[in-house]
Amino acid sequence: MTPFVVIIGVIVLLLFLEFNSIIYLKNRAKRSYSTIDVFLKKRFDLIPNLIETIKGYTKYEGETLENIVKLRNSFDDGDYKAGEKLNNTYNKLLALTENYPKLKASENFLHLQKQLTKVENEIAASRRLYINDVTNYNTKIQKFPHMIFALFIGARPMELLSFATEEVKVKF
Amino acid sequence: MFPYIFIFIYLGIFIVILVSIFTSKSKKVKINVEESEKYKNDAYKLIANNEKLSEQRKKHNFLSAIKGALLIALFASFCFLHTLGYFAVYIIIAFAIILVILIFKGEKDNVIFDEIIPSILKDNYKDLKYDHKVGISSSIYREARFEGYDRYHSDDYMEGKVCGYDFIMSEVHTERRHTDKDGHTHYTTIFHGTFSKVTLDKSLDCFINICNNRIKLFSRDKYITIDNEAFEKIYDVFTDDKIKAMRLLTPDVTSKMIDLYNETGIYCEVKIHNNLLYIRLYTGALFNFSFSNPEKEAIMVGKSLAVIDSVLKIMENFIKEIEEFDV
Repeated sequence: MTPFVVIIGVIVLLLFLEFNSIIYLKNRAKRSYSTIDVFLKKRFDLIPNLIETIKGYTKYEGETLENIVKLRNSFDDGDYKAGEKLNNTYNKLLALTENYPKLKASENFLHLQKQLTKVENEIAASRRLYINDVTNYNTKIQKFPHMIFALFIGARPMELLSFATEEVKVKF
Repeated sequence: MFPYIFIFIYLGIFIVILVSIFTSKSKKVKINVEESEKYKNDAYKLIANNEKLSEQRKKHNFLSAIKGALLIALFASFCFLHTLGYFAVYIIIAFAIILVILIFKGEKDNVIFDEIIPSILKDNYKDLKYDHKVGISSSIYREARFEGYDRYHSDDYMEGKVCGYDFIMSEVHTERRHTDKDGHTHYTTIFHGTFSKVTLDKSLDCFINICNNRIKLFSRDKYITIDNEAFEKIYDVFTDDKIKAMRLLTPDVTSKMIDLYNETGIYCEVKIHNNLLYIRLYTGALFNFSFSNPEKEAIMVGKSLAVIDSVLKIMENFIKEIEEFDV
């Protein structure tokens, strides 16, 4: 009887550790995703300052600026699809600044550029972190014998980031 | 029958001593040959033309011959212990004392360390000061928060400038004490290699620790995975700011650390505490030197200088990355 109890005890302990390990990796990946979100918000928080700076130098981009404000408000209200559009419009706006040499030379704009570069780097780093964490989680639940337990508790692979958005290179 | 047993025992001890001497010399660090070639040629020119060194080499060879002769005499005395009686015991004691004195006396003052290495370092690195008798204090090593130790030794001190920042570097050897069942104390090496410290103007306001693979049971919340498979196989990264660590450890930085390992076989550990950068490399003794012929001596010096080169390259890489880093 005693060996049987010990074997059952060991199996239960292993299952317990396995469960905790999968949950830990999943939460880690989710947390990394939230970090991307934080930095995206930080990026979009620069919008009011950017618009104020651009307004003084440009006369023809009013529609783009209005569009950005609307999208940003939607993003703040939790519309994450607006985030994607906002990202594209935001990138286009930054590309448009190329046409205004006076704007590019202004101190405010240079300061904003610096902040923007930092946020862009942080977004890139958080994306790399997310991809690594998701890869770890996916590898864990797809490997034998972990996959058996993962199937049992319904753990599914998480999606890696896909960059479907239009990438616009901003030259400073 | 009795003396033959002793002969076999002494022969066994003799073989064990010889084997231990040769195996200890074979534990050399694999260093990039191309890099050391440059220094080897510089060292050869200085070594071959140095009269003082030539004299020291002759003296060393003479002493080695005496040591060898004494060892053989010691062995022979043991063999004839039963025929010579007490007289042999006196001879053994006398030979053993002379041998121990000769071994421990060694050659403390060496032209290689006093003249040749400082001269090559001066030619290749501006403002680099070198003193082989001094080391980095244990308090500086402790502030880097590497593992604990019971015995600390440091020598081959260097100080200079890299990318405009002051750095200090030296060979460090840390050991841990163990006491066996019989109460005998033993020391095992924890780290033996090159340790360096740079104080930067910019603070990253976080800690980043790049170390060899270790158990992550209690610190896995601070552990991050790096997107470089080769790097992951060798190193672990722990940090309290994952985003900053990811920004700093770009694929370029991690592949440079892997290149160093692939080219030289040297493990590198990096710690960043705010504005302090600590680097230690598992190089073993920094300057592995023993008297031989000028060609072999130049190779030994060349390899040691290539290690210094590697440390400075790693230092430069990290300093440049931190300088470009927007905190």
